[in-house]
Amino acid sequence: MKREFDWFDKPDNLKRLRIFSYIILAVSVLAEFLIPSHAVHHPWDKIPGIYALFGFVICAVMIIVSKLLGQYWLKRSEDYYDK
Amino acid sequence: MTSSLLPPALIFLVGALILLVVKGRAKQFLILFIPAVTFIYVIKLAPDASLTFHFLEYKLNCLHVDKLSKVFGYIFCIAAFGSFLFAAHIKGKLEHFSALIYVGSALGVVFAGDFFTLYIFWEFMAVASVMLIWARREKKSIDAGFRYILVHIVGGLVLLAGILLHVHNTGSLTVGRIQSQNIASWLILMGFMLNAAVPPLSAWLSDAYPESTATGGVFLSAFTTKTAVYTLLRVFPGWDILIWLGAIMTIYGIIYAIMENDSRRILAYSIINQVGFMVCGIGIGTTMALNGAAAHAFAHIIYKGLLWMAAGSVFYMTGKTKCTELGGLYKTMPLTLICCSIAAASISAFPLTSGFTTKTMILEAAVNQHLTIIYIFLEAASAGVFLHAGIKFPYFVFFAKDRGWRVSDPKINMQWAMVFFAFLCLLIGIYPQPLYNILPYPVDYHAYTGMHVIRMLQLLFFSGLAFFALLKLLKRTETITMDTDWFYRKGSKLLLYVFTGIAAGIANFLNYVFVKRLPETLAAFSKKPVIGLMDMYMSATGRENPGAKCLIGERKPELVNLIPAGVPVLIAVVFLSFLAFIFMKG
Repeated sequence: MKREFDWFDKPDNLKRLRIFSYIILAVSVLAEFLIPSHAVHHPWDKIPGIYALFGFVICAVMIIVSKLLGQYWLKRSEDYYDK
Repeated sequence: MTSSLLPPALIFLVGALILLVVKGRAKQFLILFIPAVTFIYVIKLAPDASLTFHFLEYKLNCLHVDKLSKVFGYIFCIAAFGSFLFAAHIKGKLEHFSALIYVGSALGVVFAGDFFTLYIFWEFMAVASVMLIWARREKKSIDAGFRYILVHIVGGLVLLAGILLHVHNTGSLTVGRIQSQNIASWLILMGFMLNAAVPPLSAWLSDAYPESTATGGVFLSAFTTKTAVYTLLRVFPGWDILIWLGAIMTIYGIIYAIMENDSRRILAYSIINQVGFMVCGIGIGTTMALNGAAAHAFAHIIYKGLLWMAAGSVFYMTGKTKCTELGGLYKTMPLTLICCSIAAASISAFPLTSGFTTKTMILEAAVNQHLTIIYIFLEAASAGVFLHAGIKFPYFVFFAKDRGWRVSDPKINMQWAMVFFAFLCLLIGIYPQPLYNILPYPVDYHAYTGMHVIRMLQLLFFSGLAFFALLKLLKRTETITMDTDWFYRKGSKLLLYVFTGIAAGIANFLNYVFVKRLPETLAAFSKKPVIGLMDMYMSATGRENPGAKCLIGERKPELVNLIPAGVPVLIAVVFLSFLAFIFMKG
């Protein structure tokens, strides 16, 4: 029998993947310094890594908002409409 | 007829009729041949081709060709080809037949030169598409289908009212840019916005699409909303309200998609999110923004179709759609995972994929028009897209918790369809020039500048970081999410309850008065007329009749009973004798 492909189930691999991801994150921010910036449309465009910060913060906000909305208002049991 | 050219819709409609008489391989060939031949036909269509009729005093034009209608004509044929390839294994004819009519009608709307033709095809689309939901033949699908068709009938009537007023006001049926703001234009806009799933008119989409068949969802994801995007592009470019509605749509879709548990419902909300970008672009209304909206619709149809194919494959193989029932499928569905990842990257607008070369045009247009707040909204939404469609959907379906599924990739035709769309996603991402060439206006845009790429990567990578950092908050729950369909699903029950309450109250009252009290009173009166009359007389005059007094009261004998029993017999005898006398005389 063919061995199953289970690369993502191994903790070692996940650790490697995590380290690799952190490197990618760092590189994406550092790369900004290598590219000459001429596209300054907004005051914040000069701040290095601002898009990274924005991406993280806004996603965290959206996750928390939908968590709260779901928990306290919008989420219902699956048979809600059948009742 | 002033021209011998025929509308592309006709090829599909005739194809649907031919489908009824062919079987097996011929049927499979037919459903792939029709979109292919229509695609070539659309390429050949001359920009000024038209097909006009005179109907009463109006001029109808079933074929209006320009660059805008051709862009949508191309993509609808490509989408139809991919979707039919994905569905080619289906044995029955209902789904293919409805899909052919559905795509044909969508093409009919796109090439309609007058509002009358547009409206007819618009309604055909609604009716044909509901079959793709009903074809699942489950109670939930039947119910959702009914809600879907009812909402679209109402939307269609609003559109019709707008068209009639518009024709009355302007005397023209021609489909073209409307600038004056009046009741007619607002009604038409509402009709279009309902099909484009602009909140709060959007709940039909997330309600019905996930209840379609595994293959039906692929068709549905492409045509209804994008036809509406086309009509908005054609009729309402530059309407300011669309800028804000579009921006709200993008965020609305994300917030709901994060809450959802059903994988196909996540994708449904993600359609609302993506169409938001297009609606916003249409509202901005510069040539860059309109090009961006058209290009994004083009790219979106492909990657969203591919996502629905991936979800459809999983549904087809496992019979499940909920994140809480799926997971760990990467082990046995590698091709589905790879294609799904390409689609997920495309919808997230990763560089080298189709989203990056199209969506960023709309963002650039917002920057050029100094719409700073809108730009922030759209960037936030871009980050959020990666969150829900880019990571959440593949993560919970293919990774997360292994739930023991050991199903293989789907049927070979489904695999080929996914590969075809994945290829197109990458092609448009790497070499967008052919797409730019067919856009309605000349394109002066370069997606691949260093800054664009780096900023987009930063935004997306750190969105991903936020996803994994807050994974605990994203734990799936076995729930559904209330949307505006509450008003006609639960609210209607409440309304029904209130109205039946009021109606039942009135009915009970009438029942009491006319069925119970009145006959009782009349019966009692007719039973004891003399005492009844005396009673009335006494209560009216306040005087007591001593003679009658003895008669009135509990269990007092009625007047009739006081007469000796022989009297009625005597009367009867006299009466009979009288009759006998007359008879003898005669």
